[in-house]
Amino acid sequence: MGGLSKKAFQLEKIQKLHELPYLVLDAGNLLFKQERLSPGLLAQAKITAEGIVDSYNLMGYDAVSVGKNDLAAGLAFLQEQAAGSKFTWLSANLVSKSNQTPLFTPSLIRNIGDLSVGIIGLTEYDGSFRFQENEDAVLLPWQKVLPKLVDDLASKCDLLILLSNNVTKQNEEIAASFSKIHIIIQSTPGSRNTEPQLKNNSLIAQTGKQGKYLGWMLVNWQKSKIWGRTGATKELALKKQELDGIIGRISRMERREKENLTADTSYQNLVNTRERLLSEIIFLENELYDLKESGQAPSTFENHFIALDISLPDQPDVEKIVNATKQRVNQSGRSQAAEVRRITSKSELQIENLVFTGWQTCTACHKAQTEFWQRTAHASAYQSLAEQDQQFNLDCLPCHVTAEYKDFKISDNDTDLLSLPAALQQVGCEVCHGPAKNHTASQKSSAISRKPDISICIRCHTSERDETFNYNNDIEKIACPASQR
Amino acid sequence: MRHPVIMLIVILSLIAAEIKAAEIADSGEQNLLLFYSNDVMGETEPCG
Repeated sequence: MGGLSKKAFQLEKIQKLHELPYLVLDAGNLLFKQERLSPGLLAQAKITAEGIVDSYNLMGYDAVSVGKNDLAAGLAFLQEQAAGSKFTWLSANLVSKSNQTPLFTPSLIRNIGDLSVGIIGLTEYDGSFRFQENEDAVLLPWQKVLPKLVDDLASKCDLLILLSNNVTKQNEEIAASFSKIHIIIQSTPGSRNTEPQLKNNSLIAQTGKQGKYLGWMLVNWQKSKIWGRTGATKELALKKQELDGIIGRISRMERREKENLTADTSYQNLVNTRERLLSEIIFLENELYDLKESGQAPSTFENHFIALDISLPDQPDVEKIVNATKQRVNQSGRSQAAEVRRITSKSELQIENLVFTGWQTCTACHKAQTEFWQRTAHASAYQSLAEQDQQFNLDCLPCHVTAEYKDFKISDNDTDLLSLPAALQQVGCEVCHGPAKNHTASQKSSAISRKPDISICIRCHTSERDETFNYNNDIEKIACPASQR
Repeated sequence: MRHPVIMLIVILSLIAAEIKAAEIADSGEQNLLLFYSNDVMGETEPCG
């Protein structure tokens, strides 16, 4: 959530720079990474979610649509967050199962400058989402809720925005069905930055996954309530220029060879291109003429994405919230660990019961290799967390300890990571080479992996966490000296 | 006292700005900033 303070800084900066009326919106999947969270992760994830809501309150968000992931800690938790939010949580299709009344605000109207802007929220409906048994809730398809809502808002508003948690294909269908929805901001999971695409009369846009970008549009909204074909005049000029060239080439061919031209395919292709360009030019000229005659200039936009890079400045008040939230998360993990110790009367997992042995076992036979490893960042990965007081943060821990190799996890219980023995509190030899218990017993090299494949590395060195990671280069940096055995 | 040419430029700029503002009001257009985001909960920075 470190990007929040950088986002807040950029929001303030752009607002001051332009001094224009503004809206701040989010299309959802704001609070949690997945639709479902394991019980062990829930306590810490809820604290982080609360920190995000506090940050959004401070940033002056106007509205956020309810994404499916936002329901991961249960409907009651989200409703509790909504009650404490200064912005409005929107969902037109998340309703009570028993009486079909909306569980969140379906839409709102904001007066921005001289404009009346309608905003609708939609939660993804794909028929697969299962609410908990005690939750009186159901999701409806957009076809059931949008027609009436769009008609109603369109009659009251100048500009209509849909915040949609649906996938792109669904949003394109919505755009095709409702020309009165002018902007669709979507939160399709896993998507990259999507430059606004015009479908029917809706611009569909999205920022890249995991909150790494802030999108902003400078909108020049006209009475016509239609988007102009961006650069129609420029497009017309280019087509005319291309047509001139084609006509010149046709003339030259006709001068050179007056007969048999009809059988010449390159000549025929040029003639076909000329016809196509002529028809496109006529279409564009008519379009521009009609707009000019009607006195209704089309609306235009200018879109930007800001990468919330770690080097950008932080907004101090939001940074305080982020830091305090991280501390609360760590404290919660510390309490969870203490609770496990109290229940099991054990201070940590017993290494003799695990398939990981810890790096000291490797030292006995691979001294030069372990000495080399101790000088790498892998060896101090846990220590670096502890220095930041994040060693109980279950979001961070999996990549700072020896507890996972390919599909194998030390435990299905996420909170067990809080009780690892000191021998596994590093990214040790076995993270790259696999659990060593069988290898130490048999001494067979077949029981261990010599060189980690890329899938091992990118579990942690994802593009989100480590943009500069390059397997071929980086594997050389951590390659152990050749074994003498 | 400021240079008269500079004063004249400033005055002309102010008049131009007023004309532009009047044009915007008459034409019914409106400029606005729309900030948008989604999917905030991510690994925006390394843990340590």
